[in-house]
Amino acid sequence: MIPARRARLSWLHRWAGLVCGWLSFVIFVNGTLCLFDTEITRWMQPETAAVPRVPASDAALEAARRMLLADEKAGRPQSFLLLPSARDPALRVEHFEGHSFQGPVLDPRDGRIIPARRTEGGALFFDLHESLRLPAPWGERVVAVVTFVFALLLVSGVLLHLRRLIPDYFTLRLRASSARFLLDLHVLTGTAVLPFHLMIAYTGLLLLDQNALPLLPAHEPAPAAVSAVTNGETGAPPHWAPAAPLGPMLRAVRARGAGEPRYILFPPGSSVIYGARENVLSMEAPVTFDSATGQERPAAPSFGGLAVLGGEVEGLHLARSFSTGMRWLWFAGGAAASVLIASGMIFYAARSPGSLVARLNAGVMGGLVAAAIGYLWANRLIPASWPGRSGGEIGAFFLVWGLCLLPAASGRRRVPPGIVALLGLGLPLLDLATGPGPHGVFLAVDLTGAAAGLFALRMSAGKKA
Amino acid sequence: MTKAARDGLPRIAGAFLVWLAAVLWGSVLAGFGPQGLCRFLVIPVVMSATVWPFWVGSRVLALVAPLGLAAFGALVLIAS
Repeated sequence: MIPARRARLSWLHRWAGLVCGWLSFVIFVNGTLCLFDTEITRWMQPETAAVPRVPASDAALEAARRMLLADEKAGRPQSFLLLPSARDPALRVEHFEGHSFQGPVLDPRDGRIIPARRTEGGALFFDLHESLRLPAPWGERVVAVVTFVFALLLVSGVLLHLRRLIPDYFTLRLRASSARFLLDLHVLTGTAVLPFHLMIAYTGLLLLDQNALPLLPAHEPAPAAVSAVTNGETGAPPHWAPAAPLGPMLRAVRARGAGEPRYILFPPGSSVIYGARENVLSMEAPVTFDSATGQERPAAPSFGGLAVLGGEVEGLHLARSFSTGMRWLWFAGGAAASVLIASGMIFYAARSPGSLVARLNAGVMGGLVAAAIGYLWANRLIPASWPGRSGGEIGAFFLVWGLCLLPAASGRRRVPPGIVALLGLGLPLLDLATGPGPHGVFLAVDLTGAAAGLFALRMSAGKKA
Repeated sequence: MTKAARDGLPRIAGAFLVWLAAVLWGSVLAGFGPQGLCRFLVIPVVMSATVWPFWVGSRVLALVAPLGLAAFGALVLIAS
C-alpha cells in the first residue's frame, strides 16, 4: 500500500475510533452482558431460586389468564406471557414499562404469585445495548451510526494490517513495552475474532435496518387498508385478554412437535403462541388461536424465504435459542470486541498521557464495568419491598459510573479499576450473605463478577495499567 | 486546521454521501422487490464502500463521485 493511502486510512481509523470508541465500548459490553440477561434477572430475583423446572400447569396458566383479564378491565397496558424454560423456570406476566418488560412472577406449579423484588434485571443491559437508554427513535439511530462507524473501523483496520494479518494472528508480546503490548492485543483481538466482528456488525445493522438504511417508500399505504387494521371489522376494538383457557392451546402446540412454546402474545382477539428449538436460529411459525373460543385459527401463509432469513439473522445476533455453551462462545466474541475497542482507545491515548481522552478512558470504560457490578450490589442492598427500588437500582448504576468518571477526569486513573476490583471480588460474598447460596446461575454470576474484579486488580496494580 | 484534517473532512463527507447514495439507490431497487431483500444486499455494500473515499487519492473525486451517484439516484427515484 502506498504511504499516502496508508496515512489516510490511519487517519480515518484513529479519528473514527476516537469519536465512536466509547459508545462502541458501551454497546459491546452491554451486548455481551445481555447474552445472559435472563440469568442476570434470575440472580437479581433470588426469591425465584426455589422454583423447579416444570412446565406451566393449567392452574398456573389460569391464574395468569385471570391476571390478564383484570389488567384489561383496569385499563392497564397490554401484557404477554413468558412461559417457563430451561433458562428461567418461572411463569411471567410482563408488560412494557418505558424501557423494559416487567410484571408479576408466578410459580409454574400452581400460579401462586412469587413475591420477587421489582427490578429491570438484565433488561437494563439490553436497553443500553439497543438504544443507549435514549428516547426512541434517537437511541437506535445513534446505535446505527456507531455500528456503521464500527464497520468502517473494521474494514480500515483490515486494510491497514492486511499484509501482516497472519503473523499478527500469532503475536502477543506480554513482556514488551506498554504501547507494543496494547497494539498486539488490539490487532490480535481484531484478527482472531474478525468473522464474529463482521457478522455481529452486519446482523446488528440489519436489525436496525429502518435507521441504518431508511429506504424511501415507493408508494404510500392505501388509507382504506390502514383503517381496516385499526378499526377492525365491527368498528369496536376486540378484547386482548383471552377468555378461553390457555392450557389446551399449549397442549395443541406441543402435540404438533413444533418446538417448545416460549411466549404468548395477545393481539386483540387472538392468542399467538411462539415456540423455538434449541440451537435453531429462527423461531417456529407462530400458532394462532381465537381468544374467545380457544379454536385454532387457520395458519397464516407460510413464512417467505426472506422472513426466514430475517429470523435467522435475528437469531444469530440475539442468540436467544442458543445452548449455554454457544452463548458463552458469543460472550467470548463480545468480550474480545470490547477488549479490541478498549486497547485501541488506550493505545491512542498513550501518545499523550495527560490528555482528556487518556484521563477519561479509565472513567468511561472501567466505570461502565464498575457500574454493571454496582447495579448487582444495589439490587441486593436496596430493600426488596421498597416500591421505587427498580428506579433506585438504575440510579445506582449511573451513580457508580459517575463516581468513576470524576476521579479519572482529575487524573486518578487507578480509581475505576480499584472500584471494579472491590465490587467484583466482593460480589460472591454479597451473594453468600443475601442470596440463596452458590449454585447454578448464582454461582456463574458471582464467578464472572469475581473474574472481572481479579482482572481489574491486576490492571490497577500492574505497570501496564 | 491541520493538513490531515483538511484532507480528511471532504472524505468524511464523501463517506456520508456513499451512504446517502445507497439509501437512494436502495429505494430505487426496493421498487422492484421487497425492501428487506434490498437491505440484505445493500448494507454490506455500504459497510465496505464507505472506506472508498479514503482509498482514492484525489479528495475531489472522493467527494464528487458519491455526490454524483447520490444525485443520479435521487433523479431516478423522482422519475420512477
